[in-house]
Amino acid sequence: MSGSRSPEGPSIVFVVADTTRADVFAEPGSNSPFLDEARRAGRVYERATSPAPWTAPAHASMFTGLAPAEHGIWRPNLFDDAGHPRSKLVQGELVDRWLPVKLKKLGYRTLGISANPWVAPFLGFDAGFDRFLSLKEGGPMRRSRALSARIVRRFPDPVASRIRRRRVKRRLSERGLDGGARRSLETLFRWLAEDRGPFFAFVNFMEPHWPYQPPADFEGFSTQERRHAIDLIGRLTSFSRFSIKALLGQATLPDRDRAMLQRLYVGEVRYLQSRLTELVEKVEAAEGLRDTIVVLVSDHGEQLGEHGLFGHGSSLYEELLHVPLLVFGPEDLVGRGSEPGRVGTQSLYEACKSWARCEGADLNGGFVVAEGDGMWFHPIVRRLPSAASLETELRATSWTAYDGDWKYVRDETGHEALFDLASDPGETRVVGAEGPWKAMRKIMAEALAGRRPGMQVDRNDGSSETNPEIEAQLRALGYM
Amino acid sequence: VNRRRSPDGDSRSRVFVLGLDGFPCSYLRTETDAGRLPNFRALVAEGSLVPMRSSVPSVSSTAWTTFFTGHDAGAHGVFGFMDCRPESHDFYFPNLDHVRTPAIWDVLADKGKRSVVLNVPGTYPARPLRGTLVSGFVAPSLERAVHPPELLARLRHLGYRIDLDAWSSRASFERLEEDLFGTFDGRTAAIRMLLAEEDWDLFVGVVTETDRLYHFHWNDMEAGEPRVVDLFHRFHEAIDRFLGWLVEALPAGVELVLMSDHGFTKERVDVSTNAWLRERGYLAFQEDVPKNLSSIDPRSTVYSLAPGRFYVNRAGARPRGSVPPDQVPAVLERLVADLRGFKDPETGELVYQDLLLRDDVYHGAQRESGPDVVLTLRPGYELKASTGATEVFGPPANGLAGMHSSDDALLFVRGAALRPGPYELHDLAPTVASLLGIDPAGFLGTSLLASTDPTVRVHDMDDQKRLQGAKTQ
Repeated sequence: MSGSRSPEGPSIVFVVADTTRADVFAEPGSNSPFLDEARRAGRVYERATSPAPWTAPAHASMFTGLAPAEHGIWRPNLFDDAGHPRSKLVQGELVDRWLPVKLKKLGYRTLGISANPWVAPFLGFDAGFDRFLSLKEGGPMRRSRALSARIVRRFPDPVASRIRRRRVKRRLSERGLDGGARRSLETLFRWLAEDRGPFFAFVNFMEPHWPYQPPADFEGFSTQERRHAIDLIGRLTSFSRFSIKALLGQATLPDRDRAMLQRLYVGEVRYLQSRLTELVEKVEAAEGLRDTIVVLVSDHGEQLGEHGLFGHGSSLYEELLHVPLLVFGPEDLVGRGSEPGRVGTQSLYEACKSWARCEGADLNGGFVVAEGDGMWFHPIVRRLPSAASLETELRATSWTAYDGDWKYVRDETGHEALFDLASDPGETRVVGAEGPWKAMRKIMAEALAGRRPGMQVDRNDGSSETNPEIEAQLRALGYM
Repeated sequence: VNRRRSPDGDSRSRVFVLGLDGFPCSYLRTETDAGRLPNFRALVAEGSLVPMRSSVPSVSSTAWTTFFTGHDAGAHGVFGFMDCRPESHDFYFPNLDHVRTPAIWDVLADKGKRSVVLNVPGTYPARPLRGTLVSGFVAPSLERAVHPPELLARLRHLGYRIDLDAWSSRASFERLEEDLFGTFDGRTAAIRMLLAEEDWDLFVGVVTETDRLYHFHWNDMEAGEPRVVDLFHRFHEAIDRFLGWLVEALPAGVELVLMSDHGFTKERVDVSTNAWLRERGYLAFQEDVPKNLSSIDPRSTVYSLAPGRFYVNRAGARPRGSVPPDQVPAVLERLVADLRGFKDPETGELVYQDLLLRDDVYHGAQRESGPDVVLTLRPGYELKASTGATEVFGPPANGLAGMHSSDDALLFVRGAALRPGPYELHDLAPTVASLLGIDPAGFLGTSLLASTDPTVRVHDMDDQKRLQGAKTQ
């Protein structure tokens, strides 16, 4: 093992603030002390773009530098035809590329803490980590189907609301202070204190992820708002159909509810920001952590009713793809100030490798492609009757390519759209024939053609190993 | 004789092959004789229906690969659903990437012809061809089973499934019933779509639902269990209706071939060849309940794979090999002598039909990786090779009551006189080539057509009957 070799490079704390929108993180219209501090002590990437609209492919892209279709940790490979999740997709060539594996080979101690059930050992995300703490191990499919959740629908509203409110209150009292951020930070610093020497520490925080929770003690909420919040959370979480419809853009929510939902989400982002401030300050203050690089990034944003959509994974709108990206650290390595150009978050992969070799890295700006892998992966979507007729659209892969403020989107079924983000940042109007359609189509075609093929699915064909699915099929017919 | 031309003067010949996995020739005859399946009955009157010999072994992966390459396993290299890797005793599942001889559609592509290939087992993962391919069993995901990939979304739209859910269908009769018709509907919808839209010279469409039904319920059907008999009738009527549609829908002049890869028959006994080898001291494991051959005791001299494939555990070939080259003949000799006495203690019957030695049965460059001895199936005795089994004889596994038969596969060519038999599965690819006016040389098999001129057809079916009668005398 190479673990004994001490690396030259700085320690790296790689933080993913799951589900955090860039615009919410940046507090539009107000001074953001957090970002100001980041511009002073590091570099802020104003237009960071995630290559995928949801957790698993976005994280894997940051850990491999590859596009979702290239690394294959995305929807087409996550479930078999029967809808069962596959496991250990991070294997073979991917393991060799995997960022923690690379850094460990350079002599780094590698620590991982994740609150997201996708970013977990079951998919192989723990590859290369000396230690990996999964706050929600057990895979993403395990849903609590509490009896009360199922029976609550059968009661007329006054009774149902009472039951729901009681459940929400109980859950809020059980969850402790937050969705795991405090626990993750405590664990992180305990681990860092155990030993000296360079480390790579990855932490995923889930607070901004649905379900949004009100702040501790409902700080800043009137009695009426508090009641509304509890009622809304109860209504939306006990009817999983809301989340299905929200993904499909079919959810309708009164303005008052939507405003409350946004308020809760913003509250979660603010809360996480305060924890991250604590993290950055602690790193800067700690003896021996002086030259540590801290990366703050998100895997994707969140839709809060824009385009009729809630949640994430279901589109390639900027609400999902535009994410915060901040890098604190020594000036010669990470730079200072703001970078206005577009960068893909997968370029953090090469940057981390450069930093580990004590080389400066300014993330590459310029051209970015993101891709959506359809949303059929969501097994619960199947339960919605209208989903069946939409199957083709729901399964379709989609891509987006940028050139300056031009954003071009296309999907497998042939739908395409072109937006001018300068005049229409909300992506509400498809640009007419006067737009650079031809040029953008060409840009996308070239980008897609230039990607490396083959990484995506070869892990399940049974040619190189026994495959449990093939085995199961053969056993069912008595061939094994 | 008459020369067939399509009415629009297009003299291009085209072939449609409808595959019915596991459909026994004898069963089709029984059913049509009983007055059922009117479209089959009408069609069969227009050509020659004969039983055909399956591959060795008569297991679907080997059989279909034999069908679409026109070679035996000694050449194409697929000896069963699973095999040991060349360098160890670990299993792997051979797929299209492991097939060593060209598929008929690749041969045709060289002559500028296009093919549509739907649900032929052993064609996963799909790879580019001149035409369209949707892989069949065993295909773990539809994503890699479709060429060109644009077809994927449309197949999903049709509700197309590669296979029915074998585990649930085996466990629940209701589920089987639902899946059987559901999967068949998706299959035929895909055939209709491709038939209407694609340009093809060869169209191969395979129905595999038959094989699943037979695996689970052939015994029950023979025993006359009413709901099973009813399901058999209803499902075969559904196929018959589709056949009726197909015959109408095919353009004039298209050659029509019906075939199956093997037959089916009643299963009485499960025979474990590895338990038999263990009892006689040929085989041992380093685990109490071995899950596979990887834990084979390095002193073992022979091991087996399903169905009826016996391998001498040669030294040097694999790390756990034991028999040095000079002792191989002696081990083989003893094995063959012992196998000659491999009988069912209850009936005194041999548990297999024929004992075949590798070099007598296989031709081609992959022969070396084939079994040293192969046993063909005797009706009633299913040859299994589970490594965990300790009993040689047992009842059929729960929910699995039916087994392949080796010499009762179905073969029918509309309007064509067949040469005298025997008819072998590997003769189909050269026959297809012949029908398309391509020289059928280069295959192990030979064309089944009586005349080498593909445009010559029997005018009077009595000629055909005389021809077949001549061969049996």
